[in-house]
Amino acid sequence: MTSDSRTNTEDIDTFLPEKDRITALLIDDDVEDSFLFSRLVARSKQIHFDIVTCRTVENASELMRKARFDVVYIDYWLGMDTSIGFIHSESHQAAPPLILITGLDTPDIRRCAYRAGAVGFLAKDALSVQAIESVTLAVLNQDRNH
Amino acid sequence: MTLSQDTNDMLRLAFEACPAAMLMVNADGRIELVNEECERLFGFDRGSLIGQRVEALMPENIRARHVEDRTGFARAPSKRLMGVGRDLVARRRDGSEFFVEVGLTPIETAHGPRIVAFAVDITARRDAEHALRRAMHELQIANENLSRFAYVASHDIQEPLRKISAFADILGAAMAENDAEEARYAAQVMATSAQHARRLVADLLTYARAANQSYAVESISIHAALERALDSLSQTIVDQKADIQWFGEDFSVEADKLQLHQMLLNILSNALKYHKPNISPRLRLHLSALPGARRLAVEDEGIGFSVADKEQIFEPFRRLHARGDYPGTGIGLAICRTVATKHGWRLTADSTPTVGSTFELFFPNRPESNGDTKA
Repeated sequence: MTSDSRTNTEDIDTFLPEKDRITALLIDDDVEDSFLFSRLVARSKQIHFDIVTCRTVENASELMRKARFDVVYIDYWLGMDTSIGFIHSESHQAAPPLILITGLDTPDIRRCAYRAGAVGFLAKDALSVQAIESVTLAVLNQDRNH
Repeated sequence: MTLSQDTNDMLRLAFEACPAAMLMVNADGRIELVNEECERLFGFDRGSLIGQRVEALMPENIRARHVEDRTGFARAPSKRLMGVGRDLVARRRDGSEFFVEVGLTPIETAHGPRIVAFAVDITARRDAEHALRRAMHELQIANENLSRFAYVASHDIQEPLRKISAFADILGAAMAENDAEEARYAAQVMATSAQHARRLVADLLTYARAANQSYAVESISIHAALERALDSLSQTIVDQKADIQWFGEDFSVEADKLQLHQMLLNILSNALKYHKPNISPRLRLHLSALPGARRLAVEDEGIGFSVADKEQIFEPFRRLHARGDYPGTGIGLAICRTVATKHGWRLTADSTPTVGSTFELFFPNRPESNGDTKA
């Protein structure tokens, strides 16, 4: 199919592949940032996100034991500590891919997160539905290929 | 080879004038020749040294090993430094010990093989090296702290600005879609973020002043200072139906009035803030005299914190709880620690989760000040 065979763009959507449907866990102790993230992913045209949110790594561990998630988004600062320790321990236990999400985008933090086992990185100050889709799809494709 | 008398005299003079301690030892390890610096360094006079075994200049615990080393050296003599990579210790006549660097040179004389040794006291150099290492370690820690401070400060300062920007977009979209509920929420987040940014700047300024300003020290009644701080918190105390009890006798402290007020305000407002949900705060203020110091303890029956965090809570921007749960900038206790340290006081925290926390201030009876204080 080529787009020049159609004049109505609404029709094009019906020919696009079905949205990927994923179950994701968002770990962020900031309710406003959780609201922002959830609002953005609800507008995704490529992925249907079923988002579960929690505010602590303790809750996250419990949720990850009880349910299967395709991907986990985790904030860098959680209360008093960074989430690097959690990422490190989970990434060594066949956990779903972990994507670090942070309000402080620096090369040091990226390096630290990747070393700990994060497979993707999202900066809160440049957060958009396209950025989330792009990182998520890349991470999921990488995960499937492994 | 026979040296002329003149050459012999010149060599003897050079040996004598050497600024390092010099000695010549025979194959049995007995001292045959020493110079003046050797006498001075080891505290022996020449007569007492000649004929002694060289081990007399070493601490007893290493003498046996030195005999073995000397025997080994005699089998394969070569010019070298002694004890490279380890600390060599020598012993003076009075038994005191010091670090030395020793060089050995085997020579052949008309009377058989001899060893010429020099010894230099390196205690001062070693102390300087240790001090340098210690300073470098402290500098490294300071740099790490500064780096951490910069990271966390930039994160916390950016956060409200980022939220104002993001929620302004949401507000615009909500208004375009006539979504009053979302518009209201976005406006509320923008307002609280702006207020937080203002508090953050104000607290950072207070922190900077606490650390850098000169303190105007005067004698202040701790009871009166606590009353002033509680008066500033009176509305909160009424709103939260807080129960505050006093114990002990008043005492005076030498303090900068404004900084003391700021510190007490922060400690008391924390004790009021971190109460258990649906339970009014209960505070007990203890004033007491200890040997060498006076003590103020502020006890609460709040949510408490893990004892593992009792030092970290004094670091700037350290928050144990999400700001949505307990508002704050995370700078208050850093200000308190700075004020206490600059006055020469000690501020500590202890806590048991779900039981409560105690913040203690110790005022030494003889005030010690680390900062710029003026009467």
